[in-house]
Amino acid sequence: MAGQKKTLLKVIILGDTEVGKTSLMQQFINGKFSQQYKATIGADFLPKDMIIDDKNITMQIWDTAGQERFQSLGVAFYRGSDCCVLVYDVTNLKSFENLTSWRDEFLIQANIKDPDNFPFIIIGNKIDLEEGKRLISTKKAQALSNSLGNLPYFETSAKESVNIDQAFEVVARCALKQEEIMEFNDDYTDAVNINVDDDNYNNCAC
Amino acid sequence: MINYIIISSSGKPIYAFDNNNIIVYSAIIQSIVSYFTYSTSPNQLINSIKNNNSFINFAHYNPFILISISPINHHHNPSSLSILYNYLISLLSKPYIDKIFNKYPNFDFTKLLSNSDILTLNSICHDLSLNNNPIFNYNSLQTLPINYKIRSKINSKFNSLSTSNLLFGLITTSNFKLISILKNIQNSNHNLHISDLSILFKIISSSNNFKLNSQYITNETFWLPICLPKFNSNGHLYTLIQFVELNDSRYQQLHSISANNNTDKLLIILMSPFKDSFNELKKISNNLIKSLLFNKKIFNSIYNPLSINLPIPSSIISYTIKNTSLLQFIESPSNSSSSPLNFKNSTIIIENYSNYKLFACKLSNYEIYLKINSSTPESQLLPISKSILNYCISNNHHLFIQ
Repeated sequence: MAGQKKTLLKVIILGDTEVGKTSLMQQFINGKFSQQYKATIGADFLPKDMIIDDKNITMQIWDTAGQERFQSLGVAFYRGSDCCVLVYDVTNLKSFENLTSWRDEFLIQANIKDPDNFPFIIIGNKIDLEEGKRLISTKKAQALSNSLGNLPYFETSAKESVNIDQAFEVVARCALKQEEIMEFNDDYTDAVNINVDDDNYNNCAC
Repeated sequence: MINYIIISSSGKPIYAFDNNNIIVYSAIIQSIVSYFTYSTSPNQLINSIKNNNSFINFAHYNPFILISISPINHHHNPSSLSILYNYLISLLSKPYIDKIFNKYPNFDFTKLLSNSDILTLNSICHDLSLNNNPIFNYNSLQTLPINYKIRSKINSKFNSLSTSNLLFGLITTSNFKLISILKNIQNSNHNLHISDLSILFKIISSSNNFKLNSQYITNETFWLPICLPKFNSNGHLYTLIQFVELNDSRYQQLHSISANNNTDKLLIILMSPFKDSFNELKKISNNLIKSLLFNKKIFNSIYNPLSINLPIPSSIISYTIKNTSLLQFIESPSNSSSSPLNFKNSTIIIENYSNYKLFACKLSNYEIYLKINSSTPESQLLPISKSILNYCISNNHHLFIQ
């Protein structure tokens, strides 16, 4: 029925409050960074057009609130995602330790039927901060990524725009792969069995 | 202007009449709907939001969320969103759509919409936005006035050609004025519904599949699988669609009638639940066409339909008369299909506009809608309506299909 069209990919960004989820998205989409922290209320949504291997895609990025009080919206946000980006702050141990909980929460709330093959990406943000402040080493983060199923892992700086495009290109590729494995039967024209099926309504309208 | 937006339950855009910012709007709409679905106790569905300027109407027919955004003073057709939903179901059937979304909640439904489907959605939204489709507005079908004895002849001929594999049949003009409708007697427990036919008519009139240079193609026979959601949303009926040219000098010579452009084409619609019944239905269609074209009285009655001579003064700009028991209507040739008036609990409505008034009343089994000059005194409207009613009652068998 349909020709070549832009593929729409729903991407969710999750992680503790103040790890830089909104900054990552703003840097990726608008090329801007703001020092000022403003908590995301509920969620923010931004589109980004990309071309991946000659395919036109639009990423519908859902930047969610890290704060606990907005978590009741989880089910609404997570369902029907094509990829989930888990973000932590390399200078914040707690945000790293919570990555597994974010992942598990997502799998439950989004009702993912094949958790082993759902695409997650891990991003360690704020690598621009001075080395002494860093609490999670690359090695440690890599080990976690491997233990969760060899998840792609990137270290980024939303402030200095380091590795952002590279990370989101992998996000797009993973989401696209997830979207492309869908199989559905092209023969959609099953006939009505008039001897078995009742009409939906019995009153005659003509 | 009204905007109509359709998204999947996961917030992926499917269609928007006005496409601006649809990616962002889709996510916001999904969040609002889901907030009420999941975060309110007890769980509630959001129906509408109203502010000073606009009215936002929501419908959640899993796996789709549909919304309309209209100006606050606009005559809003309350069935708009279900009409759009029914159109989506008519393309693929409910079980097929459910199967896809149950397996893949992240499914991008735009993959299944062809350009022709988008054209039809645009056309439906255009009609709903301007309230200019009388079938949607009045939830009834327009008839072609024909002498009832001749209509009976057409009906008998149609019935005599019917086979067990033919479930429904329709003869209409190319602008969908109903001439005859056939229901298979052996399957008499199945019924056609106005909303299903309105979708079929929109598919025929708005997609390019049946046209060449904006004219309906008469030398091809089409075979279209369509799901009629109100009849049965579980599968498809196979539909033969054939247009027949009437403006042919050979018929005029044969029947010794003068050229007239009242009815230029006929439309034959035959429906079967069986995929392989095309040849059988094609034979029925051919025989039916022969009997319509080569019988002088029948041809003439369709080519030059009865004129409706309503007893109305010149101050009436246009009219629509609906037979509420048959769900059929007739209207003046110049009808501009102005916004349908909503009776709610009243039986008479008058609305004043700068150059005209709209008047509607319920009398017996009829609803009478008049567009009249502003200068017409309101005291005259009920007497005019009563004389229209008397005309309709005495000509009911010619005007409407019993």
